Amino acid sequence: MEGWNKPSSGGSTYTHPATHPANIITVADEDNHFTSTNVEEVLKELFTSGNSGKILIETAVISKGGTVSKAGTIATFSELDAGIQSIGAPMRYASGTVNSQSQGSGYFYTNETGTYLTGLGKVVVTGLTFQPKLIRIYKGTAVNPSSFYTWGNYQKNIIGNYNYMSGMEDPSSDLTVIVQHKTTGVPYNQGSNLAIVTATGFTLPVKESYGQYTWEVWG
Amino acid sequence: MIIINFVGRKIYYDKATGNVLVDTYERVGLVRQTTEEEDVAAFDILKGRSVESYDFIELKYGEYAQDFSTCNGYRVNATTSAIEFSYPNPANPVPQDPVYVKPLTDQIAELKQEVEALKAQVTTTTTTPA
Repeated sequence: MEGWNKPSSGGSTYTHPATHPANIITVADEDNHFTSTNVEEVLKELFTSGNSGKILIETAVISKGGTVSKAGTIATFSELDAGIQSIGAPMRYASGTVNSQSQGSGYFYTNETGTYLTGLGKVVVTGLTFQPKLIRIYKGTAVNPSSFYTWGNYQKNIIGNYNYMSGMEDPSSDLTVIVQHKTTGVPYNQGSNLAIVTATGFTLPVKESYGQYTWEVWG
Repeated sequence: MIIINFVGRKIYYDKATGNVLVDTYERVGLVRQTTEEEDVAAFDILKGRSVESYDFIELKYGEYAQDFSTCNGYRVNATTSAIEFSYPNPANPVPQDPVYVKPLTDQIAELKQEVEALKAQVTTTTTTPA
């Protein structure tokens, strides 16, 4: 038994405990790296510092055009390594044509009073071998600046009274379209998950339900 | 190394009428041919149908490109599963009911073969001593 024991032969013996709580062990920290003074708190500081460093690296990778795919909230070093390798990688591209469809059930967005809006068509593209960062859709086969829409990071394009922007709202997998009023900038609810960009395709709103659209994607 | 794919059309049609339900069109780049399951999920017109009511054909990239660009309609022959086109009549620009025929590309190729065969026959006939 740990601590002081009294054997039957008389006197006292001391049995040292096999383990000690980390919070009772002090650290000398001769070079003043830590604010805490015990092992438990110093470990917490190290963990927080490591995470903060990972977040900084992830932000830097993304700002340089790289992509960090992470399974958890904080990227692992392997995931950061893959992210750094993605910086400066050749831009991937694909294009094709698709007939738009009726929007069907669900909504792309709500207006400023919260009313769900309908009447748009949609285009659905699958079979991509990468997740696009930038998508351009235009009516017909000729690029006409007045009739194409672009979804991508920091891109704004107007359909009716709305700007559509997409961003990495859900970093775990999909790009989510954000809709905001073109003059007030007030963001609106998406309504449902009709508009979505995945690793193999996308579904996005267009003006017409039955029209031929050309699409181009980069990523 | 990035490999650019050239993916041909996949045309879904009604097995009873031959009418086209979905044309996936041609695609280029980092893209692959879609599966039937993906197409059913993507196109509402397929979602609502029984699997037995439709079928599809796949064309090579660029196949019948000129026919597609000049036709005014196309369908799939439900009996032969071959694509058929209707073409505008330059002599009569007024829209008519479509008349679906074998692709002009195929007809021209067949005519060329026939001409070559005839030429060969004529050559054989004229060079054979009486």
